[in-house]
Amino acid sequence: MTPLAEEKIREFNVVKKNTDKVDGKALVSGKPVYTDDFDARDELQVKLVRSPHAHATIKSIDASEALKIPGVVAVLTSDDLPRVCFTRAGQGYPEPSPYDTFVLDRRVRYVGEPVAIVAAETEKAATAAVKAVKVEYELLKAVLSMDDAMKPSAPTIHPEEEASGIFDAERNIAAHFEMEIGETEKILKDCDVTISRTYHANTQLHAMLEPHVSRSYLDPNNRLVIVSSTQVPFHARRILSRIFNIPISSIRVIKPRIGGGFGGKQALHTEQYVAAVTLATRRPARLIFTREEVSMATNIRHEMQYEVKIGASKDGKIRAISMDGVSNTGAYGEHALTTLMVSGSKTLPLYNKVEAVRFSGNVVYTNLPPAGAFRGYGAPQGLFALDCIVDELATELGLDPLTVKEMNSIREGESSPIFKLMGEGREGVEQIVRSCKLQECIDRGKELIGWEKRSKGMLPDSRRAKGYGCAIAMQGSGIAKIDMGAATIKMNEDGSFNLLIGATDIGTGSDTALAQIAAEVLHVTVDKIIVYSSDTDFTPFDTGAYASSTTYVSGNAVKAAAEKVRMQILQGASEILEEPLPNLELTLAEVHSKETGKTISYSDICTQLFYTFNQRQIGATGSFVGEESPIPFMATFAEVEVDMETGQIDLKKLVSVADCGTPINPVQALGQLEGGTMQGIGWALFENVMYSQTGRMLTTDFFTYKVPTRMDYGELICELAESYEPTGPYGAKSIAEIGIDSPIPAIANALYDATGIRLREAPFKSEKLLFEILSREV
Amino acid sequence: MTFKLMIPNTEGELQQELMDDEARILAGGTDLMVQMRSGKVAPTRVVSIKKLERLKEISDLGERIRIGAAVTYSELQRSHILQEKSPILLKAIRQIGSLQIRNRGTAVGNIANASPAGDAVLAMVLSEARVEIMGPKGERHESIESFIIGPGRTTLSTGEYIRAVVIEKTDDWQSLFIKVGQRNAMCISVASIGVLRKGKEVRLAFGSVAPVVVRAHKAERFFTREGIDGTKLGEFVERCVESISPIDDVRASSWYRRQVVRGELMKIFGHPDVGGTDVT
Repeated sequence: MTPLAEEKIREFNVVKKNTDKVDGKALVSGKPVYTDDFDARDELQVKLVRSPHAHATIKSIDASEALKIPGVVAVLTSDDLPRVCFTRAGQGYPEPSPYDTFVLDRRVRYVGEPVAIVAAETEKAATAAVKAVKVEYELLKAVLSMDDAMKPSAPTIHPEEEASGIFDAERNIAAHFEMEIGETEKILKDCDVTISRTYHANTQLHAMLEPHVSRSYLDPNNRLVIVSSTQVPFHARRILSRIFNIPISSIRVIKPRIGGGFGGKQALHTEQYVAAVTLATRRPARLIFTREEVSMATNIRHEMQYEVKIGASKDGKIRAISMDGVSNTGAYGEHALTTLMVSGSKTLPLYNKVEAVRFSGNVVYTNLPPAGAFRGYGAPQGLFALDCIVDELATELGLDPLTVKEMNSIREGESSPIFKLMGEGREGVEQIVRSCKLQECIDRGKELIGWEKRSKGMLPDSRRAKGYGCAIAMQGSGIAKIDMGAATIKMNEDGSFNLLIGATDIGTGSDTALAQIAAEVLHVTVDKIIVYSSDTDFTPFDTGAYASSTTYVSGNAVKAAAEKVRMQILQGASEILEEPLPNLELTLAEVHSKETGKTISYSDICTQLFYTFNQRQIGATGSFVGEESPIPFMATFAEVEVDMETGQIDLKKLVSVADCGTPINPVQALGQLEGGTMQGIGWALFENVMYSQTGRMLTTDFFTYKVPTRMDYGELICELAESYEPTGPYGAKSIAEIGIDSPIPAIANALYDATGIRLREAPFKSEKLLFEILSREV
Repeated sequence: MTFKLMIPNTEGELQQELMDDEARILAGGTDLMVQMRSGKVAPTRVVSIKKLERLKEISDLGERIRIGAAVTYSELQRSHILQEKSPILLKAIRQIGSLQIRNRGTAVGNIANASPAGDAVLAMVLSEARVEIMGPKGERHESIESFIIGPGRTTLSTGEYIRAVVIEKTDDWQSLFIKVGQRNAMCISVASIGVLRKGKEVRLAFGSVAPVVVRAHKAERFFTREGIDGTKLGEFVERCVESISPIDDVRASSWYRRQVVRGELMKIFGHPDVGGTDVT
């Protein structure tokens, strides 16, 4: 059996150290590194004609005026494109998302949906042509809320025959899931205390700095090359092959540096349009979205509402939980089923001591922008409901909320039947929690926030109310038995190594962390590892940057490849030194004989093997698929002050302590934790997506959509607990998503502590809070 | 977006350039560039005043301070005379945009933009600012309150430009500037409040809660006449609220804006321990 955590915590040479990012200098010095930094000769500029209506059929498109504009080369409509139904979601194949999308359709389902593709010699001509394309629409009734989607009177958003995988197209239900362990209703009735509450998390924009962009061209052998700001280059290649019916062997996808994704680039948003232009015109093409397009016409977060019931005995022992949800996937079902399932599967196992648990939900279509993958992937919406109802339950029982969370939550060596019942889009896997430092996270968090000494109530100015809240969270590390990553390492005669990985660094620093893992195995410094990632022609397969998978899945693949290379180095040294293998060990960039004291450098070994002696290439490929998905844990504490006269919320301090196993690069790991936490704070307090009455998103720029700056919240303390995950590369598990899970419930709980008012709809606007304060006074 | 960029060397040349209806002055550009990009304005001629050295002056006029049209917020923040003699303007400037915005933006630009959310405008309204305008018919002066007539609208006519603004020194007044926004940095206010107080005299102005930045003249007179002891406080606050007429927009509802103004005024003037002395 694999040992539990403590047994393997140890010192490393390269891992668990703050190595500089391998791409850092190029990024900060403005070197051409991003997709849009490169130009091809005779490149066409692509723009999309977009629908002003939320729901309509297209009667006709007249491009004649547009084509008269000098420089306009092509206007493509649905008539010019293959009618292939697919999902834009970049997921393992077969995808658990419905096939409900066409590159261009004869029906539009949200404001901003592409209607036609314009290609021109200049951006100016393309922009003018977009305005000149005349589209005649026949308007249909639009569904603009989750509530309306399933009403019998609601129009069907996806009546198309070609669609597949939709749960109930007629009732606008993209996906449905339900599971139950034990007799939930019966136990809830039997509990000393049972409460029922409804929580609603609104949508959020990814707001990554680099907009979606891709370029395409044909190489000299007429293969289609796509350079794209994507999180999923290999999925993009597969999906493009399907849409355009060209073999995978004729497509190459390259991912350069990426300016942030957060899940927003885990789908095809631009690639299909440039590919269509290049295939039609045989010319290079480029499409870069404006901020408005990024906001209203890519993906947003799934808005979710949960009705939760929880029952406990008087002493605070939780006996049963039931969660019933509805999720808004907008016009298309990307990631619809899986985000719903994750909102249960990555929250409910926290309370694994229950006698019964039930989870069910519908994901509905609406005529709003399509929802998709977004950091947290449903877990934060589920945790908002689950953590807050545990908090409310504790209040009901007259117990301290944190005590109730501590006594009922999962610990090291334990399991939950949910792991097996709920995977992503299908069954999960049985697993025990091999590493869990949740209690340590809680204890350290309490210390950092001053939990024991906290005082709540009105401040001396008798105007501001102070309060504290806590929340505990979990996430996963890759999707077990689905996410696969591979790495190839080859040795050069100066003792350096090329590390070729399918893994996709989107600004997370994974290229650096993976180089550190390779360097650790191979006993070299990080500068000896030359990383090249995400080029479908040159790097082995990887599912991509999502599901908190890269460090764990791709990291294990790198470790496997490096271990093979390590053996080959020892073998080569053994031949050259004429010493048996058991005598030999690696020291820094050298092989050393414990018996004779003879030493040979990596450079000498490889030079001889290249040019003079037993000639061959040292190199190997390793791959990895997780048999389980190790869980990072976290405890978050918030301290708030509320101005009772204006409802203004001042987040004075927020503490998040996470258990991510071994942080391969601690400063990068903390960066992920801080970034996720800040994005969670933004969602909790500032980021508010608004629509017009006709379904047009109003908050499409950073004037109206307020992402928090560093001045908008008080002290932020993020720390990592000492931990070791036995199945992870050098003990690592994930840290990319978990930070965003807990700020909403922690802040909600703190607001309640301060004001006695329980806000159950996020984001928490000052205006809403003041309304509640005043309503209570009346 | 096509336009000609003109960079006159003298004010005479500047006047020539401005004789075109489609010309717009570029000082810091922090409003103009945003409006051009979003298509709200499309000038054919953009006239930069960066070479006009005389517009970069800050001068001490005894009771008053004159600020040239090209003086940036950052320059005002570094100016000793402003630091000593106009704490209210500096408090307002601290709340404007970000450091980058303050390095470019100008106080006179804030007047020309005539936004009801103008933070510097609010401080200048409290400082009884007078706007110095040059035009084809020569120089004229107008109080800032009558110069700004609506959102984005001023009395400036074709060929005219603001050369400077002259504000009162208010160092002998207690001053307070409060901005309530969705967040702290780079934010347009939901409501802003400025107060100057000297004994029984008070000046009050509100931003983002009416078509223009408003002075609460009636409430000010009430304060001097009746004071704010006991039940008078509520009456005073209601008179203040009467002077505003907020609207609903993406930032907040009119209901919330009124509540914020009411709540902040109670905080400023009503605290039993503080009794209004919080205004420092």
